[in-house]
Amino acid sequence: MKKKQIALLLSAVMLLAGMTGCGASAGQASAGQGGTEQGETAETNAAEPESGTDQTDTAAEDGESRETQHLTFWYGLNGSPGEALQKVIDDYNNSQDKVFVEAQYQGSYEETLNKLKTAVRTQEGPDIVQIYEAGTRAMIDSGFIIPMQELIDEYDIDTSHLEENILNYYTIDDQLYSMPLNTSIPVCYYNKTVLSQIGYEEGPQSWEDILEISKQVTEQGLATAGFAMTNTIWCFEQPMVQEHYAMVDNDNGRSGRATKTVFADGDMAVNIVSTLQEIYENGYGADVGFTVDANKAAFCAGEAVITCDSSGSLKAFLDTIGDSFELGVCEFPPLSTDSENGGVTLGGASIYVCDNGREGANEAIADFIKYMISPEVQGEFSVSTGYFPITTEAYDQQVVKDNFEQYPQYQVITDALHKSENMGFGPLYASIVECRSVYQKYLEQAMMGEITPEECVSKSAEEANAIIADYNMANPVE
Amino acid sequence: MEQKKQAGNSQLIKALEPYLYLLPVLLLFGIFTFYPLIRTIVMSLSAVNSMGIVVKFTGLSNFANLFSTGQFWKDLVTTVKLSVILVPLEIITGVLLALLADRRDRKKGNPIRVIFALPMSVSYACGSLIWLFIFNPTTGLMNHLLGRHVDWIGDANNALLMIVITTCWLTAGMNFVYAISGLQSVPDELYECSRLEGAGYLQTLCHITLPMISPTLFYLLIINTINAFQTFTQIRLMTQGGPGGSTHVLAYSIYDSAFISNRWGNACAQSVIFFLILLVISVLQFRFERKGVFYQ
Repeated sequence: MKKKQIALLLSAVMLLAGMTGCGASAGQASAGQGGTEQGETAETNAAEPESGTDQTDTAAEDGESRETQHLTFWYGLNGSPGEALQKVIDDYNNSQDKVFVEAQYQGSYEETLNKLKTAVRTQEGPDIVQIYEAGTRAMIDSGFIIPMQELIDEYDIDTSHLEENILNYYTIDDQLYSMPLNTSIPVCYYNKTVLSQIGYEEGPQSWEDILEISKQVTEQGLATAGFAMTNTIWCFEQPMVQEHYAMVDNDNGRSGRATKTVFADGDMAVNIVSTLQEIYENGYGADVGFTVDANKAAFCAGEAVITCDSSGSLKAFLDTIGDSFELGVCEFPPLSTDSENGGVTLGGASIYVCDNGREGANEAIADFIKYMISPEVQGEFSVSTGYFPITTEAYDQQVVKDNFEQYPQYQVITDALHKSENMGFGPLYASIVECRSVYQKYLEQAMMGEITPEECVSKSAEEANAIIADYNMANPVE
Repeated sequence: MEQKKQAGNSQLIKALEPYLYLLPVLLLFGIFTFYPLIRTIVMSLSAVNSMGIVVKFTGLSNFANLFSTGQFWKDLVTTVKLSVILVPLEIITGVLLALLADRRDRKKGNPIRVIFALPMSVSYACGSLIWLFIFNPTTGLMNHLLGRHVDWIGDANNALLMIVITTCWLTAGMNFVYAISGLQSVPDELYECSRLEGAGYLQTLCHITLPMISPTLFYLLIINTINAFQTFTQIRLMTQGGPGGSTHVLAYSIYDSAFISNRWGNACAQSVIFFLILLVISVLQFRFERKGVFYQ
């Protein structure tokens, strides 16, 4: 009997230990965060003497004491885009000695945003931070940022040559809240070699075309499938943006905080889901599931002939496909050819200024921003990453011209960007990330034929409404 | 007087001494287990903003919200489904491998044993990624070997099966090690006896081996059930809960709510329920242990 009691006690302890793994999420996160921050502070301190030496050098040369402003910049790009960003920042640090920017990779966009939230609570946040487009409303609501517009006005940052469509996305109530850094838009990629054989050299011009092309290629055995679903969410959201059809109230969350979804009110959303369902019902979709990588692989392997993906993937597609077929690019197709088309909205990230109350920091940040949006930097960054330059002047740079000449596909996606007037209508709400995972779930169920398009839309709306209400309750407007 | 005081002091020290030894453990447990546990419970009863700051006490409204959306129940069903399929398979795999490797020669360094225990040395993250490559419908080894096109990631049932197979492999090492240590502790006399009585292999297995290792099996049952309920890494890396939420288990749902959506209150409410469920399971298992387990 005693043995059993001991065993029970032991297992209870073990359960508790197991529980901490999952249950302590919140508490532990901040504990872990503290550790990271300390590490970062140590790093910052380690870097300080370096800039300190710079400072003394300058002081000796100029005969006056000038301080080097030390800025911390958090970013969420890895791989070659991350390296490209690091390179332009290194160039900046080497080009002058007034400001030293220390760039720190913080993991994915989500992780960066999460770390930022905990760091701000302990007053250890960065001075500038790169946050993805889905975090726009969350950043505005957070109350710890200085709108970019204030820096623009105070330090005369010239924004006249910047891409208007891109700025529109980040402009809310006539204020630019952040400076776009890396921007991409959804475009349509297609297998030009196959599509030329059936008379669609220009690619699909609508979702009706996608169905028709899929039908022909599968019937004629030109490919095993027509469409590869790399980005379900964009396929759901973008047709609405194209037709200026709001997803949430208060003008898609742009004239005020969204309080509920409205996409279920008309029949637009149902039409979109019906189309997506039709693709899978007829076996036109690549049957590799709905994960991005598997679908990209199916498209690159020639199993499917059309996919809708980020313009930022162009370089990777060109590299992977090589000579196995000719890659075509066209605008993201609207639902039908005769529907109005105001273009798509963007993906990517922008730079926010955190309100740390440090003297002189804003001037240093403004100087850094001016550098980042200069045509030279934008041209170089754009060519090495595949993102759009945010200034139109970057297209005069030789590197950009060379790139366009080598890959004419870049001209197509750039034209698509310039045509997208509705970019400033992209939905903005703080719970967008969670709501997207809800849409994703129901869209997948609809595409698998488990629920009808009507059910998909109404269930998505209902669940998203609850999430938005929950957010508004827990994050009251001050 | 002086002496008396000293005696009093040393008595005090004696009384405090054991607590001093306990202090490091209590501190660690306090910081990393009890404080987060209490904080989780507090947050589950409050409205928490996206920064993780408690805004106000809301009573049971987080729980009420959780129960009213169908999602929670669906996640629960998925978790139970996964566990019910997974746990027997894991134990059977472990015991089968152990029976294969158990040559009763007690020789150290048997290479077969090392090979069978090998999955233990592979981290869940690496293992999941390797299996994800194997299950890739277009380029993966699995479809190549099967010679037919199975959509492992896009079909709801196949995706769950994929997780089951992967987890089975990942835990095979641990299950094997426990099972074989159980087998090795069965006294040789019993087997000699059964041989003399003319029992066949199956008879020996059912009437001697399995009853003798039942404490080990019971331990594996508990550990595997708890592990199955906590399945996370594989889901995070292989399916992200998809397709259509068909592998969206509770542990992943907690992560999703907390770290992707920043709905801390909701995540904490789920954690508390998760904890209660695991508690009930192990209490139930200990109740049933009385009937099936044979301690020597």
